[in-house]
Amino acid sequence: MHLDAQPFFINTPDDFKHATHIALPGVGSFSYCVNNLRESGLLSYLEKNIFTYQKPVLGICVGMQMLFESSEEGGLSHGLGWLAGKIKKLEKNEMMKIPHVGWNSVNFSKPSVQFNTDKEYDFYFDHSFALEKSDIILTSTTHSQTFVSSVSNDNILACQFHPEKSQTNGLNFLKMFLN
Amino acid sequence: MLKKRLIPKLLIETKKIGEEQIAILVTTKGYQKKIAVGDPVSQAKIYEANFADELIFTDISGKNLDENDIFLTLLDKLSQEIFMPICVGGGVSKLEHFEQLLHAGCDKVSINSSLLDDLGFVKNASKNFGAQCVVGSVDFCTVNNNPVIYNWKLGAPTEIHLNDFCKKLEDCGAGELHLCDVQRDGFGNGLNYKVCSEISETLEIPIIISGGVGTADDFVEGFQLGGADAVAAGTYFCLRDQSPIQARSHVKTAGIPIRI
Repeated sequence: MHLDAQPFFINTPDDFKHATHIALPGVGSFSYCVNNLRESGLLSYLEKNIFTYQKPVLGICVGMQMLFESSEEGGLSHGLGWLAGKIKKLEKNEMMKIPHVGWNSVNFSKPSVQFNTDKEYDFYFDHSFALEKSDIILTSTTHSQTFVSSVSNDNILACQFHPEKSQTNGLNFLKMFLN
Repeated sequence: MLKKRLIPKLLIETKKIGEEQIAILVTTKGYQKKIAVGDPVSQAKIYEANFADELIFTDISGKNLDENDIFLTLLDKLSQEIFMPICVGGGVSKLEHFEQLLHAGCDKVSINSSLLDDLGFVKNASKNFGAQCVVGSVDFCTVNNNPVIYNWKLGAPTEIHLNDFCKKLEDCGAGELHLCDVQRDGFGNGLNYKVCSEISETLEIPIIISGGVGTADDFVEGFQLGGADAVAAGTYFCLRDQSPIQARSHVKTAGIPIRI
């Protein structure tokens, strides 16, 4: 609405036909989200839309994490394995509290119309687990350690922060996805 | 680096006007006196425009969420209008409530009176929805120089020591704690930064402190002396000619890392 896009829920395989872009939000624990998606019966359709039809997909928070191989949350759980990398618990140290909650700086390593690489942008985070390293880093962020706060490749964009909650920067991030 | 947060607190009460039940914004004093302030959605939009870092929405009617469709409808409307983190509480007592609230667009769910009934609920919620989603909302007051948990349902203090209780909440998987000093609520005579600092030092999870913000300096005290990760205020933002953006510049001038 604010971005001239009409969001709707995908509940059945047919719903995919109407989608030009797909968002994978994730609220919940890692295995809760992965299992929900597997049990929905929509996973194979989702994969077809992303890998065969090459529709752009945006993973947010746990929606980002579950695209990778595994996560330490709730014991070791398997993810969807679309992207190489493992999700690990953020390191603890005396100064930094976990969960990592609040607004933190994001540094872009690839420039776009919306974001420069020589500037820092604040986005909202709320998580205890994160991606340690990746070959397709879009942004990185430092809390108790430096972690990968978003990744991008051809048609997959995924972020640990919440663009939908990050006011102007967040709307710009969503614009980047939609264009 | 991670920034400190300023959080306006919006307390919601439902009221019958004619045949219609509507949700209105109120502030409280000592958890007793309630003052109607206005429309929650328009107020939230003002806070968003003023760069508030997050919002805390709490229904204080005392209803179970099962019987509070008006509140859920309000959240749904709100989350379509604003793009910032929302922490919601009020009558949350089971896992279905988490689902309902998350569907209505909130990001974190705060549990208050159910904490006194069953800490197993916190454990289950944390397991299902992740620690980052579970906020322990703890009301306290001081009795014989000891901070103890306050039971607003009874309108009286309990004998549970605040520090012990907070430690238990962390162990059960709460991802954040919101401490509110009931005796300071709405009076604007300063935060209880002493209690906040003790708890913030012993726990690993982030602490939000509220109750008593009367001047912009009180935010600075909450961060510097209380070691808080976030300071929340209701009356200060609602009833005075004060906005988050003014408070923010004062906090920034004091050398505290804050957004914008």
